[in-house]
Amino acid sequence: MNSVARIRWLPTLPYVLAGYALRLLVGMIATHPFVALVKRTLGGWPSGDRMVFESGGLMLAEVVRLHGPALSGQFEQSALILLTMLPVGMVASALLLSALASDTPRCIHSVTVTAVARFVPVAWITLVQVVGAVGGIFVAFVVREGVTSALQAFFSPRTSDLLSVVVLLLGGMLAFTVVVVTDTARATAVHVGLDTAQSVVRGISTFASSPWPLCMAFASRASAALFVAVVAVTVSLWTGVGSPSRALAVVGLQQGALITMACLRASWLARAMELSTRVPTSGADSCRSARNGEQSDPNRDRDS
Amino acid sequence: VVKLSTTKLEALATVLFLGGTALTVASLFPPLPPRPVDPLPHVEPVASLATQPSALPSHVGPSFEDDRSLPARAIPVVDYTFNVSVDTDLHTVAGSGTILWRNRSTRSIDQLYLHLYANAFQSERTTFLSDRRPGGRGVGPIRDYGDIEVESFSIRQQGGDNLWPSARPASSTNPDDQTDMRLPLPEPIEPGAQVFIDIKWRTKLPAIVERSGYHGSFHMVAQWFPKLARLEPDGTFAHFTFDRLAEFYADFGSYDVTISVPANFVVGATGPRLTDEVHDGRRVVRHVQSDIHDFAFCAYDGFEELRRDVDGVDVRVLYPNGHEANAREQLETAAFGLRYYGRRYGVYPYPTLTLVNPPPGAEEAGGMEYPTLITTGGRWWKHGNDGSSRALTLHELGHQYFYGLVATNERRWPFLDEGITTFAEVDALDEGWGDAGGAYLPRWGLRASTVLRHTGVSGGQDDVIAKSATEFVSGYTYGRLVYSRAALVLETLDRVYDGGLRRALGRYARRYRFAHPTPEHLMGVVRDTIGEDAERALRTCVFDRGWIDVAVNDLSCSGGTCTLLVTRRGNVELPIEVAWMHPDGTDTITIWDGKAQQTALTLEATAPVVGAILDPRHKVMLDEDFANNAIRRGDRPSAWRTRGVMSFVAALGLSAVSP
Repeated sequence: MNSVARIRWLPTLPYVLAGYALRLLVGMIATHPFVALVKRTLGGWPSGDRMVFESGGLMLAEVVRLHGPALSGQFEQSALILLTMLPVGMVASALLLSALASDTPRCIHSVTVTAVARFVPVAWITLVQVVGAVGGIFVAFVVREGVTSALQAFFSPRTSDLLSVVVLLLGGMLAFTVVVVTDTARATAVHVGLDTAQSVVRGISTFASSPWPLCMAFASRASAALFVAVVAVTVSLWTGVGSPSRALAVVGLQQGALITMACLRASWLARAMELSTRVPTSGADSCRSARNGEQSDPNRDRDS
Repeated sequence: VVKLSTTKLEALATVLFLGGTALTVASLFPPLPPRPVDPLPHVEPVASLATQPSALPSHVGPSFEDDRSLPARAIPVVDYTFNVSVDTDLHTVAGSGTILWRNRSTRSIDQLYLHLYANAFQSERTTFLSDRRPGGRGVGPIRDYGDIEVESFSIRQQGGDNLWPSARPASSTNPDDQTDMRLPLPEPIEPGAQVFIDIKWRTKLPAIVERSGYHGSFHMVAQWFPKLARLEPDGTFAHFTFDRLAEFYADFGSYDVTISVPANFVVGATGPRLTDEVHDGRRVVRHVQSDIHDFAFCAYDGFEELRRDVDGVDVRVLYPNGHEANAREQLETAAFGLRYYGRRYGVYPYPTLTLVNPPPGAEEAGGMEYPTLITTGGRWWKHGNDGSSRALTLHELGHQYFYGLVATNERRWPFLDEGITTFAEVDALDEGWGDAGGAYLPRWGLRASTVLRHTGVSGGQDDVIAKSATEFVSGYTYGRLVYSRAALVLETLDRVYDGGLRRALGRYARRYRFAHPTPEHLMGVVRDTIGEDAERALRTCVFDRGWIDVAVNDLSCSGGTCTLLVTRRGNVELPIEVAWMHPDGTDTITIWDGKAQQTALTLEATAPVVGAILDPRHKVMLDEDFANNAIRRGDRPSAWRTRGVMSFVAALGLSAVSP
């Protein structure tokens, strides 16, 4: 195994928080029409929008019933806003990766220059990731339908349904692999300065040479992020938003979860970047890297 | 000290986080309370429970009427004694037997009408299959036709000749429909006389369509025998062709049916099983039940069975392999329902109740009621947090008290059955499961009455509720009005008159048990029990597209007097509670009679008024718009809770697309 530098994500915290703030801002913009609608619908009631969250669901159902067509339009608009965030997210991702790869992450100028220079491969690889992961899951669902039907000739409906979940797990594993490889490729694209194809190849070779460390690096952070999100949702439900103090606690918990998830994401990218440098670079990669010259020696010791 | 590598630590962390996630997710789906929650208080005192089973739990709630007024038996008009054999390969039922029919009318009868409902599936030209109205059950293509062929029909007292060759379709509008047959008699049957009819027939079951038929080896045998039309007291027969949106109507009597199926088949049927024998590779069961007006059975070689005695009623659930959790929930729900409905609408008078959970592929057979037998349904995982299986069970069980025991004309007045039963179902869910009636998560549930309001108000006033099923232009309109809106009207009256509608229905169900009442009987009971205003509101709602929307237009205060300008839109008049809100969160409640279209309400306030609400406790569930019921002086409060939660949800989504 190569002697590899440790890449720390903590110095990039401002970028992580900026990404979180950006997502929060866009989230608020995307959901503002619904919030305004709730405010106007229930504004005359003393409880205001608290009624939306009351058990029984009466006023939530009332808002949905009264404004069904408008809500449908708003939902589509929000979905479009989220989709348009994909390229914005690529920029944020490029900035974060650039900061992770930089010796001077506080130097916004150099980080930005690198991010701009490496944006194209980052964008392409992001698209590959989205298409690969979503496609894998979609295909799994389609295949599962057929598998379920076939199994029902031999097993009870419950057994067939449970057995066919294996297909979904396979689809999930495919998506998992795609995300791990493409994240590693993106990290490499910025860190080493490879083009899109070379980055993907490097991602694959990193995965092939050290699948276990790479998968565990991702799985540990992804499972932690999942845990944090689920806990935030669950505690929110258990706590409720009936009183202002509870509502404030819930909002605080949810935002804390989002920040934690953003940090875990940065931690994973740093680790992927670190692991990708363990793979012996091919001659072509070295030439390309030298030609681009965006980054210095990837095996530099940033911990020292 | 064992030093773990980074990768091993990460693997350990992964396992721990995934385990924690699984545990956390599991906490999102807490088990249902072991028994339904206590009911809401009612103003009506508990009446005599003399004839109620002693084991009724206190949490079921009060009875609204004295069960001692219940008639013990129906007046029998027709008794069927049949021997039938099911060919599970050819999907046929060969039957023969005797019908004892009594002329209970005041006129002599010179012709009989028989319903051969299975002929609805005979060809694409029948009234049923040629029905192009959208929505409702039975709209899909039929994979295998079915029919019923009467081989002989003879009356012992009239010579015993086979009269069937002279039978003709009774429908003047569709000669290709043979679901309603008219049979001239050689001699009239005088009032008070009775005749024995010997009959032999063969029914070919269709592939599952509209509640009946076969799917694989599952056979749902419903509407399967030649059935005499109901004779009204005035001597006319309530006969009709089988309409896709309509259900049934028949005379009470007893059924003694002996059924032969292959030995490996399990049979579920109306009434108690008196014998169950296996010989020559055939299982022969005999079911006998009196005081009913229909008989159905099912046969399947894949059934499993749950059974429980509920206050003397043998409750049996038949279900396919893998559906045990669902079946167990349905059994518990039925147990609750028997007790709850028994209190509300009179004790269940039969010794058995059978729930049939059709196997996958035969779902169309589910969700139907027959005397002492109901079909349910639902996928194997549909239980627990998802309340649909409970709702379906309570709905079909509720039919036992209205379709089954009160026995209105479902075709002519479908709302008397489906509307009242839907109300009973929602009432039972609200009382039994509270906010968890529809679905539930930790500390949050979807109340059944919330779902009812959503569907009932969304149904609008497209059409009149109280009319024949055949007159509805679509299954959608039929469903929204007859089921949901009718039930919502009843729910509104019950809330506005503080449980009055339940008192009225308790009286109606007891007074008219076995009596085939009409809407006027219901109106009369509502008038007697609640009052003329309630009757007028009910009449307007069901006969005159009734609707209501109360709204606040303005609130002003001058000196010690506050004035609230209010409007009542629509043609339904109901008393409305008005809450005048004070700064400290307290309120002063007054009542607006709701008769004027627009009026100014005043309050001599002893404390400042900062807002006002019409119908603060949502009694008028029929109100078209709750949003315009309230007004506050000053700025609207910001919806910061909604903003916080929604932005979290959106940001979670963004984390996926914008890593």
